[in-house]
Amino acid sequence: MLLFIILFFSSLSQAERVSNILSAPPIKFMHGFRFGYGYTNIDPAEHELLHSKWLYLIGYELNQKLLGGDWIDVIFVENISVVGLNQSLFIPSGNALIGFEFHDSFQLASGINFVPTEEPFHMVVAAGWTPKVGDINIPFHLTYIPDVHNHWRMYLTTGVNW
Amino acid sequence: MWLFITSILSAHTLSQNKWNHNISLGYQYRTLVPEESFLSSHCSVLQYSGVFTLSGTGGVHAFVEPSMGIVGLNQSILQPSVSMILGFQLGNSFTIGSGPTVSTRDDQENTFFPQILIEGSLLLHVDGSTIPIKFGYVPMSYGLTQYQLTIGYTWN
Repeated sequence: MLLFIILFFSSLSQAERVSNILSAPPIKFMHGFRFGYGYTNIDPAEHELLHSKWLYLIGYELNQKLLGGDWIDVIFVENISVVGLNQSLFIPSGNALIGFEFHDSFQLASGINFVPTEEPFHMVVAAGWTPKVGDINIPFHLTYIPDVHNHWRMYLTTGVNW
Repeated sequence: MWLFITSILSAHTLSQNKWNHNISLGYQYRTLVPEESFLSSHCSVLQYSGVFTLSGTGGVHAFVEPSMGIVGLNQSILQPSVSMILGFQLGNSFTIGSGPTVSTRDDQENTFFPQILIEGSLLLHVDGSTIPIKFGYVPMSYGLTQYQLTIGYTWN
């Protein structure tokens, strides 16, 4: 363990000096709305609230883009949504993701999904395309939330951010 | 929390956004459910909304439209409802969007009844004014579905 710690910190201290190492890469901040439809692999007959496997989603999200200066950037996404309004349900949901954006258009990210249920935390994976339309961006994303009990969920969303 | 605040404060300001007001009136058909006091499925609608348009290029814009309205005056019933549509405007003539709509009920335990509203509209431009003809659809939930057709006036 001691050897590992020594190696870890010595690596940091001996790392090649970059001219602008003390200045963080530029960060671009964005925010906007998102809405879409989802499917959950839960049998409504076995669930006390669900009447259908289909769920409408609407939410608000924040994006931070760590600009790499080339074809790839790092993205952070925080999203809060309400799910199930098509069934008159008001299920809050939160997501925090980290991932990459390629060529300022395509995104791939994963992170944590939170829904206040018996098993609140799940993994979430999202991928999609965000074309820039004038001053705004119109994202299209496919989101997948796996579940060990096979109660997975999938959402197709769009929206606007700026 | 820090990320939320800094993102909002640091997001760039849109150069071509605009805020409009709209008032609409029209007809609504809604299925009768025991939780509501409507005697007929045919209802009048009166609605006020703000329309915040985020301008894009190539004829595609995004908009956010929060609105409030009253339904059922033709039956001497005043049932309030609020909604918020998120959607897209295609050119200067069409919009399509969806969002939550919440109506109130007399039920003590479930005062607010949320559903989704899907709305499309045709924008007529007459002498510098915009006249939207909107068609709204609320998919069935707990036996209640709604169809709505309104005509209105939009101003800056």
